[in-house]
Amino acid sequence: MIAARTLRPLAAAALLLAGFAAPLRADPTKPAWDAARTTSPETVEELKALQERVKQVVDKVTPTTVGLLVGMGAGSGVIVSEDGLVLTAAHVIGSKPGTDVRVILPDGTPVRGKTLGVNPKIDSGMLRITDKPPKSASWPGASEGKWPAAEIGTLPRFEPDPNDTGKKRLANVGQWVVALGHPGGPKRERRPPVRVGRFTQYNKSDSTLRTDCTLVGGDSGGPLFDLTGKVVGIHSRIGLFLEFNMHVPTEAFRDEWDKLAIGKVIGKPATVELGLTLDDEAEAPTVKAVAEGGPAATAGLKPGDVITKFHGERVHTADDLMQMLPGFSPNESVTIEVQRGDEVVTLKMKLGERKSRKKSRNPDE
Amino acid sequence: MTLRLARLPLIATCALLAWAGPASAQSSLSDTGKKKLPRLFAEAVSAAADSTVRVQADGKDASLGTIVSPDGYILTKGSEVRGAIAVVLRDGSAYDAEQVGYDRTSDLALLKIDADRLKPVTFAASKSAEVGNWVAAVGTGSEPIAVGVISAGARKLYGEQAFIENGNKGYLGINLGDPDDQEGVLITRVEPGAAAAKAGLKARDIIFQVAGKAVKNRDGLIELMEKYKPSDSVTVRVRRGDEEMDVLVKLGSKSDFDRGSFQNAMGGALSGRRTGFPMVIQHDTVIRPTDCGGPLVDLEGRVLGVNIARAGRVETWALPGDVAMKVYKDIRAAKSSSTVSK
Repeated sequence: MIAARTLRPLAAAALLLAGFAAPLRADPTKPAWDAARTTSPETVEELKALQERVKQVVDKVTPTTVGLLVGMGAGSGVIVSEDGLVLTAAHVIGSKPGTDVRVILPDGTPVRGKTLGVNPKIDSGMLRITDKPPKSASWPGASEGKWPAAEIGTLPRFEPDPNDTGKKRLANVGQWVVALGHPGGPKRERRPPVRVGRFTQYNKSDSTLRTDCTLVGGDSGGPLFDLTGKVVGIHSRIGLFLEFNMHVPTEAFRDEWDKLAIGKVIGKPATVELGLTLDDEAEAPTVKAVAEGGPAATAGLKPGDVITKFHGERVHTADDLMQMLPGFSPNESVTIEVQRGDEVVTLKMKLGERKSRKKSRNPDE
Repeated sequence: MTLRLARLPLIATCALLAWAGPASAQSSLSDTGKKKLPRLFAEAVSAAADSTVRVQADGKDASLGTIVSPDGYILTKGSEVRGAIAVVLRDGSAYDAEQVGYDRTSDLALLKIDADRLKPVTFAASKSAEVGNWVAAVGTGSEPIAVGVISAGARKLYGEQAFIENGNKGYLGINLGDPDDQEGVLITRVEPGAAAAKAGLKARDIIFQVAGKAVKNRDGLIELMEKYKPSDSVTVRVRRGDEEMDVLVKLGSKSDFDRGSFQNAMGGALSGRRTGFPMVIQHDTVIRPTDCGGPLVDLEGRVLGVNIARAGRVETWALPGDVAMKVYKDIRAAKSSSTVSK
């Protein structure tokens, strides 16, 4: 017979577990805050409803928010897939796919990751956690090797402009949002601090969202959430005034997802030369010819080789391969995996320098 | 505009691009809504506002204070209160105040005014400060000074944040080390373009005097440098090899060299003493340094703590109520045990 006293902690534990797995649920006896609402609370009751909603969102999304340590720099990111894909800002991870990253979980545990692609112009970036969840991890799916992932949403909502038929206008400025991140870099015993604010502007010229959730160095790459707990933006820059905080909309990631995921540096021209030509009849990147004395020839590539992996990343098409090149610099060594007949051969290649008449402009970092 | 990364050896640079200047907008919210919220907190702050006072030093607003006893004991942010102290109650009555004690770690000073039947605060337990809860920085008005949410619950500070220093002091731009065989402070590195570099100080110089006062070690140097402001000039005496020389240094500002400092300064003044506290509750209300020292309340009117620093662009820190209460009691106990007779 279990004493009543012992039952209570067990019951409490059961409630906590249930609460974690459950979707956001409000107390049915109190009016809930509508996540889509664009106006300010008018009463103390509404203030409390907004507070309750914010807290539910924070509980749900904190596990997906990570700190990032890359070289000498610190930033933030958000896990968006169970297999460990993380969205962040380009200027946090740099334009060198395959760079090592230390990913800091909310409880301070570090795990390892590698950078993927970036679009420096819009400041979007992606990386992958390469470790499995730590043994101590207790989130749902941890024991199956799954990472807690944030769902992706869209913040700016456009509707037909009543004053200007055929045109659209922004309909949801004023919507409440929550920003998490690691201002000043990850700090011991500090879970990613929460800031609450509102969507104040959509800047068409550089496609950024502006909110009044204050951000500062270290927050870059961290997530902006709507009040359904979906990530809608990635922190990018700040202005002089406290109200000027800019985020990359998640749509910008969605549009270029596959390219980012294979490590492409979008918008940057390639400066490397492989010294080979590909068969443009084949779908898979198949070597047609290698230039005598060039990088591919020196590495041992032969006509007929089908390139399957470029520096660890699988490439399925000639395009995939070409899109990876901007991430590399002349004289770098890369591993290339090829299918040669029945065999899989791994080769090492020292990349050459592309000689072009035009001077390519390097993006600021 | 992108800020160039300043790569300082000891501190991780923090990624965030700073951009100055507006761009064309499609539509924007001019009222961020937070401006309308303070009136909804009138009931939450009303009790605590009766326990809040304005503290003046040499006639100027220096900080706010929190009444902790009916007989006139008041906690305030000690580092902001230098000189002749006056306290103005909510009802407008003014009193001369005596500083009866100061706790350096918490930066709390205990003031005493000759008044009684004052309304002291009752602090709530620090676990009441839940992340995401609305909070209000209380002043002497019927509405709070500012509102926001708890960003991070009561925590201990580590690393750089645990270091007690004046964050607004004049900046030399040197890394410090210990000389092998003598007293003083070894300069291990000089930040290019900063005050020390411009003045001609070099790596391996040993500082042994500042403004005529002996410098025995790093703590001594830090303490001496605390009181200087950016743009102040100070004479530093160094040993370079066999020579001794005086070097006049015009101090700069850390935010000119450290990207994190620069960004933290974007959007408003920060408290000078903004690190090194025993525990802090972090929230995103925006207050001026001169509004530290007053209570922080939640929507239920619970007093969670005493605002102790505007610590950065994204954060204001409060000392949890139990920490503040302990400091008050310790200072009072120390005072009464040292009082011979009254």
